[in-house]
Amino acid sequence: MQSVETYNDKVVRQFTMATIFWGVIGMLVGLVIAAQLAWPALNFDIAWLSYGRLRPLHTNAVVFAFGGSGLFATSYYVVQRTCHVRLFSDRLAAFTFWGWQAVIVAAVISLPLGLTQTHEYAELIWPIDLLITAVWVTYAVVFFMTIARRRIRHIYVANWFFGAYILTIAVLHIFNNLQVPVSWTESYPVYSGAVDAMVQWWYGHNAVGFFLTAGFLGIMYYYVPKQAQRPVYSYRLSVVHFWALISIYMWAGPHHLHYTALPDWAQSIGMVFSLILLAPSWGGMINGMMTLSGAWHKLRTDPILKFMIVSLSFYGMSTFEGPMMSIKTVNALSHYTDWTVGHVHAGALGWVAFITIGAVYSMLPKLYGAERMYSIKAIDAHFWIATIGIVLYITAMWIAGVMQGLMWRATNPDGTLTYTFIESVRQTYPYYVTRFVGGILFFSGMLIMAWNVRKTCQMGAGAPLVRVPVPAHA
Amino acid sequence: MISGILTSILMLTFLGLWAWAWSNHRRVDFSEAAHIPLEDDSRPYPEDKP
Repeated sequence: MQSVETYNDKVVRQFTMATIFWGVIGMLVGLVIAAQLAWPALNFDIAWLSYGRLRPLHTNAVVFAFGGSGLFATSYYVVQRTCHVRLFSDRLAAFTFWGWQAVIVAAVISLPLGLTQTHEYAELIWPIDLLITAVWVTYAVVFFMTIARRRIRHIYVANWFFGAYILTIAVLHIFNNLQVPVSWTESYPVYSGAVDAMVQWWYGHNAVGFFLTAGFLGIMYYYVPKQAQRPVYSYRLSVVHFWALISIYMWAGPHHLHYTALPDWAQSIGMVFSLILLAPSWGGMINGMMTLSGAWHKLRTDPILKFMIVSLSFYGMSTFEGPMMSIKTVNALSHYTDWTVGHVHAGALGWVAFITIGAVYSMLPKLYGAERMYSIKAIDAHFWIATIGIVLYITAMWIAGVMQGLMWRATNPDGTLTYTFIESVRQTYPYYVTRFVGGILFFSGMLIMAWNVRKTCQMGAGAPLVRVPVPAHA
Repeated sequence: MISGILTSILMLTFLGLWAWAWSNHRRVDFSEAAHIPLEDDSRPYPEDKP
C-alpha cells in the first residue's frame, strides 16, 4: 500500500491565524498613535507610550507581522497547490513560523523600550536582525526547494512573484543592516552620510516594491482567478508584467530623497524610474481586474471578490499617485506633509490589507473543513465599513497634506514666512480627528473578521488533510 | 556611448520579451499554466479512497 502525500496546511493555518491576530494588534497601535496626534495628552507622559516609540511598533506590526504572516501563509498555500507537492520540510517550515513570531515579539518588547537602529522600517536592533536573516534564509530554502521538487513542469506566475519577493527581501535586509555592534543593543551602520541615506531608501522603497507589491501580486495572481473561477485575463501580460516590474522597481528609491544632499542626477534617476513604473503597475492591475470580464455579476453576490477587485482599484490609484508625487515639482509640495501618509495608507489599507483579507476569507473555510465562511453578510459589512474607513482616512490626509505644503511655502512680500509651523499643526487637528474616525472604522472591520473567523472554525469539521493530486499518467 | 549601448540592449531585451510572450508556440503552454489555480484543491483524502 502506498502512503498518500498530503499538503502541509498546518503551517498555513498557523500563519493565517497570526495574520489576523497581528492585524488587530498592529492596527490598534495605529489607532492609538492616530489619537495621540489629535490629542497629544494621550501619551500620558510615559516614554514607552510616546509617539516616537509606538510609530515604529505600528509600522513593523502591520507590515512585517500582519503583512508578513499573510505572505508566509499564502505563499506556502499557493506554492504547494500550484506545484502539486508537499512543502519541502515540515521542520524548517515550522521554524519559519516560530522564528518569525519570535522576531515580532522581540520587536514588541524592544521598540517601546526605545531600542532602535533609527532606519525607517529597519529599526530593529542587530540581534533581532540576525534572527530575521536566519528565518528568511530558511523561508527561501523551504520555498525554492518546494519549487525544485514540483510535479508540474511550469512554474505558475504567482510563484515567480513570491520568489522575487523572497530573494529581494533577503538582499535588501542584509545590505541595509550591515552594522558594527558596540554592545548587545547598540551598533553603528557601515555607511555614512548621503550613502547611508541612499542605501536606506534603496531598501525602503524596495520594501514597498517587493514586500508590499510583488508579494501581494503573488496573492493576486492566485486568489483572484481562484475566487472568480476564471483563468487570469492574460497570462502573456503577466509574464511581461513580472519582468518589467522587478527590473524597474529597483531604481525608484531616490525619490524619497528629493531636495536633499543626494546628488541631483540620482534624484532625477529616481524620478524617471518612478514615472516608468506606472506602466507595469497598471498592466498588472488591468490584468487582475479584467480577469472578471464576462463575470462582473459575481461582484454583486460575492463580497470576497469585492475585497479583491477594490484592492486592485486602490493599487491602481496609489500607483498613479506615487509616480505623480515622485515628480520633483509635485514633491516640493507634498514631501514631509501628511499627503505622504495618506498615499502610504491608500496602498497599505486599500491594496495590501484588502487583498490579504480577501485571500484569508477565500482559503480559510478550506483550511478548517467548512463549506464557506460562517457569515457572508458579515464579510459584506466588513467590506463596506473598511472601505468607508479608508476613504475618510485618505481624503483627510490629502486635504491636510496639501494645506500643510501650501502653508509652509507661503511667503510675505518681504521674503519672511507667512505662517509659523505651529499654525499649520493647529489647522491640521480636524483632519487628524477625521483620520482617527476612519481608523476606527477600518479597525472595527478587522474585529468583525476575527469574530467571523472564530465562528467558521467552530462550524468546520476540523483541520482536514488535503491530498496532493496524483499525475493522471501515474 | 556606453549608456546608449546599454539602453539599446535593455530596450531590445524588453521587446524580445514581448515577442516571446506573444509568440504562437507559447499559446498552449500559457493557456495550460493559466488554468493551474482552477484545479480542485479541496479533496480530503479519507473520502475519495475507493
